[in-house]
Amino acid sequence: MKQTDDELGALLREKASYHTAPTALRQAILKDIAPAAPQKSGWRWLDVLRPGAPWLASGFAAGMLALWLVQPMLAARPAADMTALLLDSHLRSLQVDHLTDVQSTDQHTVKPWFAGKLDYTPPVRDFAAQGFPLAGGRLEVLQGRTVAVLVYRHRLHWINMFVQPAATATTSATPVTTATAPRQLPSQRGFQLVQWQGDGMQYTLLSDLNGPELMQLAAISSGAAAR
Amino acid sequence: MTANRPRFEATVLPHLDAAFNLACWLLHDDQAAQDVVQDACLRAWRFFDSLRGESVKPWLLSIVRHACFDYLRARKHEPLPMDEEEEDERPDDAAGPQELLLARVRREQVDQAIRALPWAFREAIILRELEALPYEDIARITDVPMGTVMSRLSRARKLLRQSLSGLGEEQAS
Repeated sequence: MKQTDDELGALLREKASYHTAPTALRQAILKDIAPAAPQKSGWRWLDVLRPGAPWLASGFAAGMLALWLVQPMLAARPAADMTALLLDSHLRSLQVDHLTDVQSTDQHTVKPWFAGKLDYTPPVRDFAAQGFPLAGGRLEVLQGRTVAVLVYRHRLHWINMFVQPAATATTSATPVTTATAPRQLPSQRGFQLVQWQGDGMQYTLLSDLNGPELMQLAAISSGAAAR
Repeated sequence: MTANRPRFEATVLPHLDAAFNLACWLLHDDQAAQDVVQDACLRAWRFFDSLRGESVKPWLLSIVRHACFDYLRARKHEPLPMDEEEEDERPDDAAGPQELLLARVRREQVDQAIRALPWAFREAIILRELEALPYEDIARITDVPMGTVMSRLSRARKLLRQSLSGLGEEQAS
């Protein structure tokens, strides 16, 4: 009898649906417990960068690292959640006809397209030879700033590369001018993020591609930028 | 309050999945479960200061369970959990070779069998088998003596075995 109880338990654990809390619920709760008065933006940041429970236990140091990494993207006032904004933008871009404003695999078509639409020039390169062909580009408005997005393809995956000037994106109190190596940020709702700085620009890759392959594009791209 | 926030996030929010899972199983409605769990977490946040030395998971789950009650009471949806005690003991005729067929049972059938359990059995089985909580925690969450938890679990298992063995048999034939 005891044994069949255990068997039944194992069956339930294996086959019964386990309802994990949706991200929206988590965020609603974090919002509920947020203090009414505006707080240092740092805390808001940690909140949104925590994707799940295991993180909460062990992720404080990683959270601080992520905070440091995304610092340049923070506006001076308590910012809305940039990672979520980027992800929303990524998801929106995958909806019908939103992915590219200029659709071309030719960097010499994409690059001039940005000219006159931005107050900076995003480096546009094609990495088709390395398996990441350029698919086009588009503009996004994030927190009131127009941001260049380059779209790459890898097998059947789309990759959005957000490019914005590191210096102007940062708060005046913490200017970031140095280049940083690509690093993976905590994944959000199953999407991977990789971020680095170079050429005075901050780059963020966002995709449903797996982490190592996304890092590969980051390495290729940041390497090309260094040259 | 503000100073407690990181501690709340680090101790309470890790159990959010357990909270949501319990609410889904009690309410059978994902959207309602989201609302109820959000409400329960707000309650937990308000009473967080009064939590002293208690383990957090049973504490949070008992708040969630109460919030589920309130939700159902407000809607007069489902008979509240008292009625299950009147359920008749059925002869234990489902034991035996049929047990072997459990392995064939599919996910939807397992879900369906749990859904069909009366509330008190369902919550006991979810807390025990999916959350692996000790009997005393289940007793605290469901507000009954430990002996009752054990008998509910055993009756819940019997009911599950009956409905699942039947299914396995149908599929096999």
